[in-house]
Amino acid sequence: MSEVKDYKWVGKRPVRPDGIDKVTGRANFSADFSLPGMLHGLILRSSYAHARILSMDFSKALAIPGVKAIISGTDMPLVAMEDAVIGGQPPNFRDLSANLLARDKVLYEGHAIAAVAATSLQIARQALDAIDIEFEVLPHVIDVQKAMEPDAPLLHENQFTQGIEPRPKIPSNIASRYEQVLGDTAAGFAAAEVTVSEEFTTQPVHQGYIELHSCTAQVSADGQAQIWCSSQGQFMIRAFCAHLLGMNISQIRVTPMEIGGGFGGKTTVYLEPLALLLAKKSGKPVKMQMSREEVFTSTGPASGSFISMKIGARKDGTITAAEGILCYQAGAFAGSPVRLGCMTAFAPYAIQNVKLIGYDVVVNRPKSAAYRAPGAPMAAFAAESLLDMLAIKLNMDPLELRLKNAAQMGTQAPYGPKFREIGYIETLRAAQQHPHYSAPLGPNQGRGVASGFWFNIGGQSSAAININEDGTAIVTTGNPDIGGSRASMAIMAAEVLGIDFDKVQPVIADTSSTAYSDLTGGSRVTFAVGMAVVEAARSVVAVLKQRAALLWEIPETEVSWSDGQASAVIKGHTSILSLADIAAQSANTGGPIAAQANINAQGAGPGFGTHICDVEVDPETGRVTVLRYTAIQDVGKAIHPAYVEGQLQGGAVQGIGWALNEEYLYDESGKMMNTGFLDYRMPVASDLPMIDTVLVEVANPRHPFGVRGVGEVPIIPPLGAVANAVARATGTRVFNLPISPPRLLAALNKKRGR
Amino acid sequence: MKNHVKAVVNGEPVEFLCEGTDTLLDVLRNELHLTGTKEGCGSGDCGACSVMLNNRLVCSCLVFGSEVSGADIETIEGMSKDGELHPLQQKFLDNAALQCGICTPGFLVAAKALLDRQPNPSESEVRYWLAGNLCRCTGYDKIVQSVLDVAADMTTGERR
Amino acid sequence: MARVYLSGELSALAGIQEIEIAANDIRSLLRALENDFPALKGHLSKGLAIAVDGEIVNAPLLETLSPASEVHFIPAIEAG
Repeated sequence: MSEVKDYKWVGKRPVRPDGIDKVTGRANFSADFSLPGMLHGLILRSSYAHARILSMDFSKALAIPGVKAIISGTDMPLVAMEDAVIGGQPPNFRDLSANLLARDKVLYEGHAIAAVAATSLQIARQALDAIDIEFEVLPHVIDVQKAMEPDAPLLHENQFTQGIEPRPKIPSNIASRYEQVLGDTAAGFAAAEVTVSEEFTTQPVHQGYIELHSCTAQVSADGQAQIWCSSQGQFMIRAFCAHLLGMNISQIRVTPMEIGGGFGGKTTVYLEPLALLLAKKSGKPVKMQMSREEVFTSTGPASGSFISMKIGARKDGTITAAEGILCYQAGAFAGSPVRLGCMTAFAPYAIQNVKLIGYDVVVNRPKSAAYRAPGAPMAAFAAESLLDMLAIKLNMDPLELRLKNAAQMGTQAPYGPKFREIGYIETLRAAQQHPHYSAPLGPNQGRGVASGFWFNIGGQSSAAININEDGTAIVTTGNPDIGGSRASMAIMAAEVLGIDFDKVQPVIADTSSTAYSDLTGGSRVTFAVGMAVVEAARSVVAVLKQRAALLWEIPETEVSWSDGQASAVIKGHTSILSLADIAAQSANTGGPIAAQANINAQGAGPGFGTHICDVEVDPETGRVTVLRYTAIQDVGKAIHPAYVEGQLQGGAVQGIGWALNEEYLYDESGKMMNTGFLDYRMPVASDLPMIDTVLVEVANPRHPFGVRGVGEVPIIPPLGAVANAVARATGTRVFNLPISPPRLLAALNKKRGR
Repeated sequence: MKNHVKAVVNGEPVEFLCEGTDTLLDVLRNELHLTGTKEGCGSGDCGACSVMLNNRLVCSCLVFGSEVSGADIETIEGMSKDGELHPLQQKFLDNAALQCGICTPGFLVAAKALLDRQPNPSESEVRYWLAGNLCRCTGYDKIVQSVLDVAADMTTGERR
Repeated sequence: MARVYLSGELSALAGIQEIEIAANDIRSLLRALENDFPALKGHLSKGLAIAVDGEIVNAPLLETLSPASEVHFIPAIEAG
């Protein structure tokens, strides 16, 4: 299907340009930055899950020598309630403001109340201890189903469920209701010969980036502000700070530091506006860094969920209908990705009748944040578990069942539009043909498969290419490199310019040094920013041809470009000018050679993946060991295949953690009990086998090299693949994640009658 | 009152003042400006702050600065010698064994400590040795493979 | 001319699920929709994305439509 082209750099695996700094400790991440004379900022956080703030007294804290500034919610301007759309992300800024520093009420343990800047961390800690606050502790609610009950403790007295007509008159923890209908499910279930239905729960999981949130801010006397921090988008930081603090965008300059992982969790602000306010109030630079405990209690996580789902099928495996109710925990403020859960759950399948209802529910937990394919993994866990149950019921191979129902070009997605070129079927066929799928299994072992879908996005993107006097090139973009994107930008530029990869230097610029770009997220950078790079490189080539024509004194149309050089037939002889030759003559031909492309990239091709997972279950302890794992995905075209494989491997392992270990544990008072990596158990090297990958390449026709986004899809199938493998290994299916040893052992014992 | 400490870091003598509560990690990053050693948890659970202390692999967040008087400390900044990358550093680059790179210094220090002790480890030995280092990006595949590749290169090199 | 599909809240507000609208681009399509269905005013951008012929279009005002175009209003996609 995809045309095979002979590329010089695309599809190769050169060493990433920023690699040396990252293996020698020289790369500067957020916390590695400091300024002379800077203060240290710390945050006072709520130890209650839900309480009214009756009074705050900073006088004792301010009297401590070395304490330079204290801020609280009243220092933040009251921002409008509207959902301002900035950079593709539509946060509710009033909620965001109240999440950064509580107003009137604290809504979860860890909710920020005040921030202190002092000459040392020790003094800042003393100041936090010296702040007097009087609370009225309120009843709290952690569980999503309990939060939906009419008598549940209410988080927001002024929140009325949206999406219900007529508008309710009684406030509720249900922020909104979403309904997605395709066809007629009643007729679809009437046509079904078998049905399977079940209830599922998943727990909130943290993005788990190893880099702690950190930032340094300084404000000059004229109000010009600078921020040095890591995030998934320096322009997002700039826009959010300006909007939250009532500043002009031009007053803020954000310099992106290297980012130590984000996975969606760094698509919003936590510290930056506070550091700016403290720097403004104290007149000195302020550095802030969270502890791991703060990262767990106050940032992220992905929503937990309760999902009730049902599918019906004919005996030949044709799925005739699917329906369900999805309830997602938003955390303390509205805005879970439940709609995306509804949209993605059955997207891999051509089902004519689908009805899904989503509820976005607030609970006394930290506000949920985007996490890789927001909303999709939990919904896919439910859907893919049901498909596996259906396959067992019909005595059908689970890949055959999926093939029977697989979406292809022209299939109407459950959320409405019809798919264009997609490669889902190709992933299923690759899975069938993979030796993993036919390898023998031993006792207590089982094999599960599951699939996943993600939209992928484009968006506003910019790139500038400057040709240096010696024929090397600088490629400047405005997107943090979170997993090797500098390498893919340099590869695409080198390919179009026709020069060596080593001659291209990618640069990630601060917000005042390059044009706006949407943030790094949604699997968009290699696709969308890559398109901008390709367009800029093509413009540079046009300029180079024009300069060569001037030097040769021939019309531009007679000049062609390949392998990094201009060529033309002049008086019967082929003449050649290399890029370096033309660059050296730039002064004589009109000045510096450069080009910029600023685009709003459209045509991001959807991504599909299918994973195969083998597990062994210890029947005495309930421990699940992943024995073998293969992640297969349609990636369109892998620009740097090693980093594409890395996306699949990393996403798969995050999904394995979601399935087997990771969860937020709360005590009776609503306090998180596992706020460190010892007890919040992310997968470690000894938990895992090698993660095999298969890169299926069904080109996206809208990208010059066929690229599809790849980062989100791989976290979607693992939850189902692991759960299906455990079910097939034990004959016992677990519907509540994580499938931790105590939970699985309880299920096994129940079945054994123990 | 601050403590006055003398030690050797990456072969160079150093002196610093530190509070009794300052960790070796604090000292390395804030006093000696060796920011290649990273903080991921502060509780010894993630390994991002791995350094060698008197030839022993430790989490520098679990050692007090005052404890290292007279000690020999090696950090990521000392791993490449005379401008030559250590084979592990080169293999991590060749194999794309890093994505964001924040855990990379800790993994390299820990992996070198393993190969210095056991030049020919099994995959299982590599996985258990590195179980104290968290990586959230890579799923460990390319990291483990890189350590095994370097071990293989080293043993064939010896045979030659 | 383009075929427009409404669902969920939009469909409830407008009282229809599908309609043919004469429009050459999204901007004129939105104008026509709001004109014909005043209840939709203010609801066609907030938290929504637009898919034209199966492709989700980012900031779509100027996106051109063909007579056979299918336009779907769907929830905005969040980035992870």
